[in-house]
Amino acid sequence: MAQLLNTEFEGRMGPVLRLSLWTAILTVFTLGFYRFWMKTRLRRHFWAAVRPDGTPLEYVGKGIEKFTGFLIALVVLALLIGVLALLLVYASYVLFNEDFEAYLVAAVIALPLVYFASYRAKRYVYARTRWRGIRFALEPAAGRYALVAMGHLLLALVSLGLMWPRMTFKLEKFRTDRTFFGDQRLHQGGKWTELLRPFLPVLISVWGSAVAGGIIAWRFAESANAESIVIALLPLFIFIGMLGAAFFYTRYRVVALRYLANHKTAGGIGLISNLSFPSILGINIGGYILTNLATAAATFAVGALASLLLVAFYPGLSHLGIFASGAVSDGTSIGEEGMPSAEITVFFALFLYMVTFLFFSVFRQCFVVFPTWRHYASTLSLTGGEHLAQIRQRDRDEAGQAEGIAEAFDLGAAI
Amino acid sequence: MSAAGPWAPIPDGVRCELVDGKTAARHVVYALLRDGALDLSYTDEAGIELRWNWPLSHLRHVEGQGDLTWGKAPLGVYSNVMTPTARLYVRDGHLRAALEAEAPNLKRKTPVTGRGRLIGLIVGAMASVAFIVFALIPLIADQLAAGLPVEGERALGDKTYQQVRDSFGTVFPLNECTGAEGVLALEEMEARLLEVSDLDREAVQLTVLDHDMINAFALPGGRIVVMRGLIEAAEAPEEVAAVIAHEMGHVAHRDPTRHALRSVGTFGVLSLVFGDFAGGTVVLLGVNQLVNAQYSQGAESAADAYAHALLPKAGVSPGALAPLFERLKAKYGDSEGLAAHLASHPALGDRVTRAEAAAAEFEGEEQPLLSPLAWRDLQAICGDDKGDRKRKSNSVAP
Ligand SMILES: [Zn+2]
Repeated sequence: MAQLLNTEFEGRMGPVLRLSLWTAILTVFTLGFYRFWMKTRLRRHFWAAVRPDGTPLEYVGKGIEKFTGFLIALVVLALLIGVLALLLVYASYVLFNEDFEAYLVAAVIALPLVYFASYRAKRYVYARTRWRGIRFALEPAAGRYALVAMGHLLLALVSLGLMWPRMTFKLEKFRTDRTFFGDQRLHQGGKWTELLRPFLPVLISVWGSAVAGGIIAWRFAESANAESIVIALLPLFIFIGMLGAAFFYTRYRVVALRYLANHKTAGGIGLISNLSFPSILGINIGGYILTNLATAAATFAVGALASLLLVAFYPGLSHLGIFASGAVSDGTSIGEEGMPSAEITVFFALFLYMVTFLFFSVFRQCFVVFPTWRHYASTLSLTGGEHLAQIRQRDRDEAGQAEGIAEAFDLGAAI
Repeated sequence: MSAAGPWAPIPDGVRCELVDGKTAARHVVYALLRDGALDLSYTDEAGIELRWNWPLSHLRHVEGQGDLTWGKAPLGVYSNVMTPTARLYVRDGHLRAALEAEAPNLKRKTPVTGRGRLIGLIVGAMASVAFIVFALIPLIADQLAAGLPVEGERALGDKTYQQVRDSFGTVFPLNECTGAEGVLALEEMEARLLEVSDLDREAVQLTVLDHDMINAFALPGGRIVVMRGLIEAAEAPEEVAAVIAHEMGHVAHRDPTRHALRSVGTFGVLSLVFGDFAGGTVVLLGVNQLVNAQYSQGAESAADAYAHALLPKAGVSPGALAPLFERLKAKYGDSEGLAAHLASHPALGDRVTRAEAAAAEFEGEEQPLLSPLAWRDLQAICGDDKGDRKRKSNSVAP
């Protein structure tokens, strides 16, 4: 008898909004240092909402772990970013009279680091996730992962994107085959070629618009009577191509995720995912519209409040009313009598910037991440539930430096 | 499922769910609250009857799961401090309420360990970052600035110039003032000063930006930006020239290049510390640094000395700087913005004294730097209407 266990999702928008708003405020007032605890509390909340077979997932990570992991990474990265960036910018100006090359080289250096860091981050999160009291785990292999990822990336690049689905599959398999639930190792089945078909529309959009654009530019560029309409259409053409690519890539991501989930097993236990692309698309479009509207409204409200405060202290600003903080942060009339000083100006500009930034992340959390999470969870089922009794506990993985570098780079910004 | 089968008598107590933290099996367990303890009895897969006894004082909430719900009803999740991976899931409202009321230590958290290590880590990390920002980066930046070829320096200057214009403009970049006669007057002033300096003819490029600030600053590659506010606040071309001569001193000593390279490293690290990934902080602080460049006291004195040596050769008294400073001081004496800014510069009073001392030694004949007509053209470089505008003013000393 194969037991089918469905996943329940118990969470409402209200508590998520309250929690993320409150922790975001704490983050602003601690100059960003509360962000480690903010993320931890949000994760606990999100994990607890997901209930396979009615039992909530648990996130047992601690803010302090994230903080110390960040401190260690900070020293390494400060050297890297401070000194290396300086050297690169210098070299770039010496050799090329611009700093574009510096950023290029920096990106090439950063790329393997990003994969390395993201694997480490996953290892920490898995090590702090439990269900039915049993720990998850990811074997330490971040260095290998970064190396393998670089190989796949190069292959994808050389094959003009054709090998991209292979990379998607192989990297997922790399991680899944090193993932444990208790003492049970997970296994990624399936074939990468199955992902090729959903990826083809992406390739066609990208290369189609590139080739068509190239032909148009080549055919009409030198013709004397310059078919200006065709040339003018070129940007439009490229825009449509990119829009198509973005659309099909989102679809590819969802289809790939579903395929990969459906071919994961853990001993006799399997997964069934009924992820739906239209739902995800709707969540994203609606979610981001709401996020931007809410961010604009909230930032305006805070700006108006800050303005009242400013006007109270600097009567010279009263003619600006609720727009005073905006004007001040733009550097209008600094230093005049009854006007704020340059330092206060910079402070206000920073404050408004931070506030906008945080509001955006709060609302995105509520209107995009939360519904996506709910959709992922509620479309997921487990098969072979009777095999769970054979899975035994595993020892705790310290995963010492928590998310370290990933934290500093804000990888996996979702939660 | 259980070996006892559906016909077995239902045990006493409330039906709950238990995981033992050893296997992923979830057991139906009957919980009975008596004598300050929770009796848990269940039958495991092997058909063996098990009894657990959890004293209420051992009961803990699972952090973050203290107030979960199950539909509309509350879902209690408890662990035992002695078996921290075991979980009891209570869906019965009465039992949960009783536990919440009677278990005394539900909210107690596991004590933080390694506090000493943590403090050491924080101090160590702060010291390392401070060393990198305040010692290593300036050291390297100074070395590199000395080796940067002129073209590279100029490219760096153009880039920083764009940043300043972009960030001070509201929607469009800040306007560059290009009134034809005004530019001619500006070029005349530039030529007069360069002629007598030890700098190349190409080494300095003067630009006026349309902004109220009373400010002028030098950028890498020898671009010297004068804000409209400064020209409006000046009462004679010599006052403007004196400020420019000071900035030429910075250019000659390559202060702006060193400074720009330093901020490349420094602000990258700062944005890392504060977790600002959009990089807005970097741009904001960076531009502020460029415009309100606070060079070291030594660099400022050196630039002053440079100006005091240069001005007489152009037939301008080094004292030309003094009246502008004095007027600023009279007007803004204790205005906090000015005072705050000057704190980092050699004291304003000192600078005036030194300018006057240099002026006392000046024996040459004072020649007007620009004709009255050219001076009027320069004042109108940003367009005529600007000249008559309400005199605005600002803190920043050159
Ligand atoms: Zn100076």
